[in-house]
Amino acid sequence: MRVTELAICSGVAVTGATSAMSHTFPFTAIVGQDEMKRALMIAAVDRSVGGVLVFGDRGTGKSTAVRAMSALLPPMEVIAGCRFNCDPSADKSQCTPVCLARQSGKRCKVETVPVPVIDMPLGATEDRVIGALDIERALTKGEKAFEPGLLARANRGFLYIDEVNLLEDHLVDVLLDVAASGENVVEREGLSVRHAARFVLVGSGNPEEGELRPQLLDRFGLSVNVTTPTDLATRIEVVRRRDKYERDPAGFLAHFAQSETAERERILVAQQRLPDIETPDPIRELAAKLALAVGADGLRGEITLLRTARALASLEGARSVEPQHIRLLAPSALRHRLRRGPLDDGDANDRVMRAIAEVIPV
Amino acid sequence: MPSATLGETSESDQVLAAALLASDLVGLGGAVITGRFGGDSFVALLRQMLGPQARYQRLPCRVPDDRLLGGLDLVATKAQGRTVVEPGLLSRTNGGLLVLTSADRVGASTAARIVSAMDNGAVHLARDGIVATMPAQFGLIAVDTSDGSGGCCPESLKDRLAFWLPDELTAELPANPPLSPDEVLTARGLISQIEAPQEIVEVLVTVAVSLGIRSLRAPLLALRAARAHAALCGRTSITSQDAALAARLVLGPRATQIPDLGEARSESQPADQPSQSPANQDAPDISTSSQPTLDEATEVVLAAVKSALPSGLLQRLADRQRRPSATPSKVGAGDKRKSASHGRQIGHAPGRPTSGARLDLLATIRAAAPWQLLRQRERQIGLPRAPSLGRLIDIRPSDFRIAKFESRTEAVTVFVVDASGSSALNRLAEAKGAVELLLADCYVRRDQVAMIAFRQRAAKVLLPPTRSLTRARRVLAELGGGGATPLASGLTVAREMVVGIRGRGQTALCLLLTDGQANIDINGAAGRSAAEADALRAAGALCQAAPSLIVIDTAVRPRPFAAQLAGKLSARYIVLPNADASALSQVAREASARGPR
Repeated sequence: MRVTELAICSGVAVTGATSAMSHTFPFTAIVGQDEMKRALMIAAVDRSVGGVLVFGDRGTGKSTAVRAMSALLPPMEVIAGCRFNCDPSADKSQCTPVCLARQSGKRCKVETVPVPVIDMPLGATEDRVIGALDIERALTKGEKAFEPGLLARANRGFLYIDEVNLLEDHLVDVLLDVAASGENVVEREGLSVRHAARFVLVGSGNPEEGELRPQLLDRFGLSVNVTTPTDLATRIEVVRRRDKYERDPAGFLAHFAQSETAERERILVAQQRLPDIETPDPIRELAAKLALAVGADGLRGEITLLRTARALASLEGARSVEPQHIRLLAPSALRHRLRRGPLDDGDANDRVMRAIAEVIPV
Repeated sequence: MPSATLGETSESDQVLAAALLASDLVGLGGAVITGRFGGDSFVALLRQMLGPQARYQRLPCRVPDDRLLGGLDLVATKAQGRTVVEPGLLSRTNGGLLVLTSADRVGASTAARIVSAMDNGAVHLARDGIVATMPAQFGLIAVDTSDGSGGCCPESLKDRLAFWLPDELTAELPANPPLSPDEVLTARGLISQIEAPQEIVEVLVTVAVSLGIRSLRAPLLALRAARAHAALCGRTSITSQDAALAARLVLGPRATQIPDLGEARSESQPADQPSQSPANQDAPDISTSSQPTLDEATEVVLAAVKSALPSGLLQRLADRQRRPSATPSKVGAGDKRKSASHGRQIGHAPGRPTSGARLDLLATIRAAAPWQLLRQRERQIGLPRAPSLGRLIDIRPSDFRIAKFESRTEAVTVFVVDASGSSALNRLAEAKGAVELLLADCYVRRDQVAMIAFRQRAAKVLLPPTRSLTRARRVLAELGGGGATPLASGLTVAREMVVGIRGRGQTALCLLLTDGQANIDINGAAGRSAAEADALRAAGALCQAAPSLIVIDTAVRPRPFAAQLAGKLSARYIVLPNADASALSQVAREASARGPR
């Protein structure tokens, strides 16, 4: 509505990008970038894997892929009107006292909503991230009410930070706190509020513009490197699809509707099958050996590796985790957790690859 | 009907670019204008074509978030009793033209915000108690007034702007626009109906690869430019003519390598071999291995791009890529002495063999070779032709290739570490950690390192310039702390070393880590005032030796003396009151990444 209004009054017809704006590029239309797609699918299947970091070249469709993934997520149930996306099947005592939906005392209604994928824009201020005093109500009614922030909206969903390496330090601190405890504690402006904030952290960025703090790096379960495809045919296909999408988003989406539905179904099935996926002892041993061989810091790498391998096995319809799953995921699960000495010349990736070749012979 | 003559040589590239931008402002992103004139005439021309109603804002490079993104309108909120959002510059320019003045000085965070708005077509606001999404689709003209010595327009921004224009010509744009606002509107209406044949897409992508352009946005923008041109010409489908023009305007300035256009391949292209120079490793590597086989259509477009590459452009681009940028891994590598006449030849570029420049004869002949048949025919039918210089081989000025040389000097990073008691108590461990991290950087760059420590009575060279990182590390580990602070002696020893380094034709980067609490004079006697005076004198001498200098103040409470010292050294002065090793090394990296002062 607003766009058309502005377009008319400025005498400028905005084409292409406008229509594409309200749509999302289909996940299944992304050419190549298998490692990134795999990591995002795994995060969609098992939220407990601890987030995905996508680092790489400009113009490789990092944010496109994350937004596309959100369209594939199976919907979830929440208590109607709850501003914290509370789970109706969860214990009521875990619910936050500031939640208006459960305060009324009546039996709460349940509604099915899309899984939230919340954007944390650059320039976000702390008050809007963790939540703060409701300024409007404070100014007009003189009430002291809590207005939940992005962390509340992202609860049980995804929090996406583009250019995560440019995030202000104080926000990184907030994120680290919340990611560790799964709870957002707000103590400000005379408010004292705590609420659940469990989300999958998804970050993307270009390493040339800055490094990520190691603590935050460690919070991401999987770290994916994306590079511009160098194969000519792939490049042509990327440009062709992007052009088609920008010219006729609706037609393009219709063309991929079937594959999108299939992919959504795959996630749903994988979620249901996940509890039954077995992790044989030799596989655990393999993961431990790998983590040792690359010299990963802490145990998080190993745990993530096993968890993500289970999700992958589930996605691929396997009954138990197989060495190939470990092999596929080890680079993403371990490369950002290597202990680094000043004399390490090599790429972290190479180290992981060498270790894989040693531990899992083809 | 839009003028059908558009695209012929009568229009300058700048005018063409402006016309294409006017027809697809948001889709093409905008333009980067490089040079001192500030691109005013280009902006004026573009605005004439967009019509008087089009929004227009100038965006200063240091713009706070509330002005850029939007914020709470306090007065209105209070008056109306409800939250009133005051839109920022980005959303206020929705549908219009945004001019970023001094794009070279825009910070990474501001650039990231602009880029994010361009990608989303909207500003996501989450600040001042407001969460809102406001449409923000605009064309951006980034004016880069740097002379190339300082920073340049952020790459993330440039990548999204279709046209990269030098300003030499924008200063003389015609006052009358080639298109009226009505014609622009007509073209806009046509754009979405224009077909892009598969072979056009293939040609543009292939040409981009041949020119060594990594980003996939480049061929996409070229495709958009071609479509806009087709619309202006009233076509329903993109032709190879549109593609050639778009490639010339969009891809040409992005070229990072000379395409192999039917010339003798592979051999004698040393600039493409990454092994030749370590600093070159970040240059696009999509060239040689995946050099596409060019079909005829691609060759035509490529030839159009190539003929339009101004002489020296490729070299400039190559320089820009190799210059230490904001990328931390490319810190303070040795000055690259570009000389026209000596050093190792690293390739060739089109140009004129004027004094000082040396003709690469072989490359010139190769450049001329493919055209011989055509030129012969031209001669036979007596077409007017450019002056020819030979009979056996018809060589024309456009064939000239100038040899490019590079004599890369080695860089030595000299760590001058204060190991005195006052420093040791505070920060010696952290300084050591930072030095270790910086050592790793030096190792990656194959730089040499040297280490000087000063404590008690005098300074000592712990490590003469070496490539052995293992040694450096061992020396560092053994470095003990304690005692007084003979700062003057430290600086004097550093000077001696720097003079030696420069004598060998190497460049030096000095990192002085101290808390500035000098208390031993040059003769080893105690006394603060004499020590400080001596330190300043030694600093003056060190500055004369002209290395790049960075002073990192490790004091918990920095004293003015350290700043004074840094001033005397004309050094970058960095205070690190509460930093850990990695933060310390990060700052040093960033500081030195800005290159020699």
